[in-house]
Amino acid sequence: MHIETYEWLLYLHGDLDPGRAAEFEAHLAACDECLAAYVKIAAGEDILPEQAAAIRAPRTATRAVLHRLRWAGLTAALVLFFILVSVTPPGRTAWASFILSLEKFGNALSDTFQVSEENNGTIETVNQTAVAANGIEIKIDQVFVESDQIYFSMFIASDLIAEENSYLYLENDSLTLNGEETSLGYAWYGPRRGGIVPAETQENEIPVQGMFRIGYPKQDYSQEKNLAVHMTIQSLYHVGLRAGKYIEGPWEFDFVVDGTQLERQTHTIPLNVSFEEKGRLYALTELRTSPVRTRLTVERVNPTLFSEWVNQESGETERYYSSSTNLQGFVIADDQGNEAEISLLEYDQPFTSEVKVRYFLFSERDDNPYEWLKDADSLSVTPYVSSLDFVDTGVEGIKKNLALESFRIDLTNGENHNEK
Amino acid sequence: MNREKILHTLQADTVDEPIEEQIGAYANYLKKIIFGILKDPTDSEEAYLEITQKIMLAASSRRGENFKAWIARIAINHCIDRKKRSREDAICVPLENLEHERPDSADPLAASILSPRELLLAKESLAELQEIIAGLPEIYQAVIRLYYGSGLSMKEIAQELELNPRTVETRIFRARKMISEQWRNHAH
Repeated sequence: MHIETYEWLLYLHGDLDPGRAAEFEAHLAACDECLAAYVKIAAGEDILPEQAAAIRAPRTATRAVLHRLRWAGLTAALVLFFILVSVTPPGRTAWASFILSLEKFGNALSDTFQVSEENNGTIETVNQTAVAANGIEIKIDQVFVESDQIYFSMFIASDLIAEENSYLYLENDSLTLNGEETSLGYAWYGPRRGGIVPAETQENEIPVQGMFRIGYPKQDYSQEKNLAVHMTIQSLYHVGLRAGKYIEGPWEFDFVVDGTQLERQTHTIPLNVSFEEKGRLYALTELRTSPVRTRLTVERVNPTLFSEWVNQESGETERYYSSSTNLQGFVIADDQGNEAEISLLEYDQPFTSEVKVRYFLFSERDDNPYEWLKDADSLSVTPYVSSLDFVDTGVEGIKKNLALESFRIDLTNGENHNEK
Repeated sequence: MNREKILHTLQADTVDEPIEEQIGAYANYLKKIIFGILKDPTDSEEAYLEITQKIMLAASSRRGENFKAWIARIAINHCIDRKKRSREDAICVPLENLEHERPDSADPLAASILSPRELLLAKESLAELQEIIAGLPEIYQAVIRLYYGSGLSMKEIAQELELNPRTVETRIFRARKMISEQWRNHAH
C-alpha cells in the first residue's frame, strides 16, 4: 500500500490518532513514492513532477479498463440502444433492445481483455434477462473463470445516474458457486462511472453504468464443466449531488457457466527466481498465460513492518506488513524479438498480516503475449522500479522507470536461474 | 514547473554554488516538510538547524541524486527519528503534563509557515475532504473513522463493530478508494 494523497492532508492537520500517525511515519521513512506524495502536500512542490504523477496514478487494471471502454464500442452500442429505447417503453423491453445492440458491438469483458476471434468462447456471455427492482435494472453480461478468480461484468440501468458525478455502488452482494459461499473482491466501474448519456438526450433514455466484479473462490472451479452461479445484490447505494441513499433490491441471478473454457488454454509455469532492489528482496514464483491475460506472481520476501499491536485480550502480538513496493512491473522478451510489459497491478491490498506480501502483475490489455509466450523456451526478464533518482528520458510505458539487472528464466524444465 | 526548470533544479548542485546557499534556497521548502511532521514551531526551528548541519556533513557522500529529493529524505527521516525519540521519552512523563502539550484548539495548519493563500487552499481542501468522508455510506464511515481516529488494530475495530476482521479490511480498502477517487475528482 501507499498512503493515499488525501491521507497526508489528514496527517498534516493532525486528524489522525497518534498511533496511526506513527504508522504513516514508519511507512514514510521507508517509502520513496510516499515521500514524493508527502512533499507535494506538505510543501506544495513536486520533487519530480512527471515521476510523482506516474507514482500517484499507476496504470492499474481498473484504470486500463476505464480507458479501454470509455468511448469506444460500448458508447456506440449505447447510442444505438438509446435510439431503440426512445421508441419503446422503458423497462424490460428496453433491455431486449440493449442486448441486441451489445451483440452487434461486443461485450464488456471480451472487449476489455481484447480476446481475439480465434479464442472466443474463453469468456462466456451469460444468456439471462435483466432483473428489475425499484426502477433499476441489472444485467449480468459476461463471465470467465480462472483457477483462483472469477470475473463478472454487469450493466446497471437507472435514471439515478443521469447526472454527472452520480453513481451506484454495489452493497451487500454475495456470490455462491456450486452452493458454496464465495468471497467477493472489490468492484469497479466499467464503461463510464457516471452513466453513459449520449450527446443529445431523448425522453425515455435510461443511462447505463458498467460494473466489474471479482469473486475469490475457496476452491478451484476451473475444472468444473457446469458451474452453478448464484449472485445476489441486496442493495445499491446511490451517491450523487444530494446525500447518498440506499436502494433496496434484491437483484438475484442464477445461471450455469462452463468453468473449464479458459483453463483448457492456460499455461502455468512455476518459477523460482529472486532479485533485489536496494535491500528489498523479491521472488518470482509463477508465470501464467491464457488468451485473456498473462500474470506474473511476485512475493516480497522481507516486507516493511507497518504496525505492531499487542492484543489486550489474548496478549498475542499482531503484526501488519506494508504492501508498499517500488516495483512497477517487468518487461519480458523471447529470443525472436517479441516483447511485452507485465505491469498492471490488480489489487492493492493496504497491508497484510502475512509475512510474505504477494503481488499479481498482469499484461497490458492490448498486449497479451500469450500467442508467442505459450511456445517460448526461455525468457529474458527485466524488473522495473520507481526511483527518486528518476531522470525523464521521454520513454513511455514501464521503461520510463529504473531498470534492474535482467535475468533469464528457462520455461522448459521449470528450472530457473539468474544470469547475473 | 517547466522542463528547463526541472533540469536546472536537478543540476543545481553541479554548478559552483556553495552547499549553504543551495540549502538556503530551499529553506521554506524544508521548513514546511519539517513542520508537517513535528507540528510545533520551536521543535521545527531546532530540527531545521540540525537538518541543515546534517545535509552539509553528508554533502560530500552524495552520489548525484536529485537534490530536492535527497534533502527531503534527510529532513523527513530526521524528523521521524526525533519524534520517535520524544515519544519514547514521553512514556516517563506524567499524563497530566502531557495534556498541556497540545491544546485541543491547536490548529497545526494555522501554526505552520504557510502563506495566507496556501493556508486558505489547505483549509478548503480539508473541508472538501471532510465533506467527502461525511458523504460515505454509513458502513464505511464507521470503520474509516475508527481507523483514522482511534489507535485500534484491525481486529479491535472488528470487535468494536462486531464484524469479521476480513470485512473490516475490505471496508477500509473500499472506503479509502472511494475517498481517494472523489477527492481527485474534486481537485480537478
